[in-house]
Amino acid sequence: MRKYQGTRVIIAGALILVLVAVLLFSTYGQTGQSEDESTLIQASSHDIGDINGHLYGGAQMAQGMVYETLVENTVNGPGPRLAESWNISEDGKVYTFYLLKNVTFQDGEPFNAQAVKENIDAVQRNKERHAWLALASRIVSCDVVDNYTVKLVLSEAYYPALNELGYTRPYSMMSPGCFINGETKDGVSGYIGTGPYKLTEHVEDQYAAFEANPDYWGGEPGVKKIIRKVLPIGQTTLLALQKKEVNFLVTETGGNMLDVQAVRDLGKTGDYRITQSDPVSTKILLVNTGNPESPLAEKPVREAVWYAIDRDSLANDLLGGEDFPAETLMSKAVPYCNIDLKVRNFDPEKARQILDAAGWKLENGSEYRTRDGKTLKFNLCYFSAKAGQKAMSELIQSNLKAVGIQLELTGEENNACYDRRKTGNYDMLFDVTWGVPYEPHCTANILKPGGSYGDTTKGLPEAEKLYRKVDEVLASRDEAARKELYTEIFSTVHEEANIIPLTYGRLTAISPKNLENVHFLQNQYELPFKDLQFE
Amino acid sequence: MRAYVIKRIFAAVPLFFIISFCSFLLINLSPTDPAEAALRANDVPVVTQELVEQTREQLGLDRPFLIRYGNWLSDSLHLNFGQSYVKRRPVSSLILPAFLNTLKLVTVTSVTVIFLSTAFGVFCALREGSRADKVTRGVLFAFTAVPSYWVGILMIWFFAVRLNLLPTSGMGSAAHYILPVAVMSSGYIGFYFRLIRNSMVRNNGENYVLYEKASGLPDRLVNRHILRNSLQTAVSGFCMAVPGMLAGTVVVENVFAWPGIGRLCVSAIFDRDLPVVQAYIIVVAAFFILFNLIADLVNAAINPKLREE
Repeated sequence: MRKYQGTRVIIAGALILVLVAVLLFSTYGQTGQSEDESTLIQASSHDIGDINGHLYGGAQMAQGMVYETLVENTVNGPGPRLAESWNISEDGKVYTFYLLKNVTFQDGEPFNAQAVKENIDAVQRNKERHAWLALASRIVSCDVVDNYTVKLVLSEAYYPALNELGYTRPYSMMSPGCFINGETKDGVSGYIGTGPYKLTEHVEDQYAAFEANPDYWGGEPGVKKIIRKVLPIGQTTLLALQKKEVNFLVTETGGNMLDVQAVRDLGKTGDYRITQSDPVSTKILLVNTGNPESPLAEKPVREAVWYAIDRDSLANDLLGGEDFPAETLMSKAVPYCNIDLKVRNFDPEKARQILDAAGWKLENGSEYRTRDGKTLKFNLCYFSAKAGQKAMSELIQSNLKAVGIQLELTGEENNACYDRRKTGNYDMLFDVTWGVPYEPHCTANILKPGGSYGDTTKGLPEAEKLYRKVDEVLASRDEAARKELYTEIFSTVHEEANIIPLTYGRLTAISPKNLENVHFLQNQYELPFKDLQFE
Repeated sequence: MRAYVIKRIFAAVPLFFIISFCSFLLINLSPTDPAEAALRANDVPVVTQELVEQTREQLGLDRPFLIRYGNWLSDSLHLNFGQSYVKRRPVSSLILPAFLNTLKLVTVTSVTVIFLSTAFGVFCALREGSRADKVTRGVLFAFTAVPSYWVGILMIWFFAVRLNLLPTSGMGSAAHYILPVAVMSSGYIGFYFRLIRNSMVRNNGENYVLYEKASGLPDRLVNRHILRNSLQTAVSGFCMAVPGMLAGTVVVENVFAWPGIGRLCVSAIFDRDLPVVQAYIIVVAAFFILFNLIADLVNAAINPKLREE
């Protein structure tokens, strides 16, 4: 008997494993992924996360479905949302908001001035976390005037205050009933807003289900159920779209994992409709001007780089026409940015002339230019996890090589790239702007020392003047003066070529052919789901 | 046997502590400040120095390394892996569901690998040199050689989209297991069936087999003896494959949107969510040690000589 003991152990082990496997199969039923045709099943590469409306960890698109803000950013500037109107004091320091009546939170609690005060106070008690938002440091108090009137008092005039109150986070209105001990900074007990959709189910890293809010003050949304399914890989997403396991997708600028041609082919099947937004952000190269040892400290070299990059190829050949070639940091559609600036089209010959004039000569038989024995070379760091940046960087490398510049590429994961941006440990660094409604004031603000783009302005001869103008424009209350200041700020940045624009990115929505009214908001991170309607 | 078991268990304990210390040390050598990374992972648009300092204090990162290690080790032994820097939730509430999801996948895959590689191994060994042997080896080798990402996409396209037989991704029903298990096991079967086949072929030429055959023992019995003697190498391999699978599921989990521990760990690495990464290392290391122990014990059960050594 003893000699068969080993075999028995193996057989017994295998049988246990089989039993476990059988149990696994039998305990799992279908979880109901198949839904009727009026359900929108959105594919997303990430889970919605913690959608606390006062913090940043959750998916903004999901936060925008559940929460609302006092004002809404539109193409015509801030418009009414939960505040039906407002007025601003003469000195620009007091904002009085008149709230919508008959609005309730999804838990039945009334939306009123007290709820607004509790929300704004909770955000302000965590204002270190919102330091990127100049408004957070300027709010002195939020006072209840009557049941439907609140007064926001600022320490100094700040013209983008309404814009910033319209960002989905951090000034989302959440039901005070879900605050924990009156606070939201360490979490909330539920995700309850006044928005058009309620979060009804969330299985982390699998899916989140939203159902239309029947009591929504703006009328019940047309699409009754939206499921947001997590699909981390672009290829699987496309196959799931083909199989109609998911039927809705919105791309992400700067981080698309989808093959452009495959998306277009899906549109040709007749099952889907492809809708594209206007440009929402700009892909850019940040140029570090603060290192005197780097050739990029010289304006002619930066200008030559600008002329040497073939933006048409980047936008049309590499990105399949999804992006537009960009010649300015901000597109002309961005508020205050319809500025006439010197056009620097792709012109390698001009780049060569500029470099020759600057003393960077190409010796016979050499691939790269030199001056005083030093080769004209620098590096470009890109985010290796963001699709497309590697290919774009390689095309730029070949463009620069054609004019005699040696570009070394460094692809790193996000944290390493952010570390470089923070410490200025780069020559050129790939980045993508936030787009409206954060533009142009947020980008202007981070041009200052300590800001994310501070190293791009550090070496400019007019740096101090530029910083003063940024401070002035943010406090400006005169529209004409503000326009002039922005013109000067972005003209300087353009003239100095310290931020080199590449392409303007767009969003693409893939939706069922019977889904109507697919359109985009100003904010590239959100979508107006409440406007969608099945035929 | 009891003495052997006790000896092996005691040998595993210091190994576990060495792994825990090395992993804690190496992870903490990362140049990126985890407090800063946690803020970035939470999409805080501008990370100021004051905010970083405040977060460091909140996360306890301002304490000396050895104190942090001691606290962490003591808590970990009580299965308390601390709070996630990024999600601000207990790590166990993240690790456990993800680990169970992966374990389900790995369990079904292990069963599949054990049965199919044994079946193919015996099939080929008994037909050594025949066309069937060569074709089987060729096909299984091809599956071992191709990347699992590519096989996964191909299988989704064919079985889920073209034939409309199976779901493309996710978990929930028995049908959701079929494609990821097929992709994961295809690589392992190609490896383990060869171990069994080659071992059986080698044993077939041993004197004891000649003796059994000459004694007129039925082929069925002779083959059973050959298989039993050939399993020793494969048992070690199988046992180490299980934690290997646990640690190596990330590609399959991403392709099939399976919310397992591989995906959790990779995102934690990118976010510098150190408590999650540390918990992952400890859990996987514990499984490697455990299955190594099981392999030794099973081999010792099969081969008494090993116990004497």
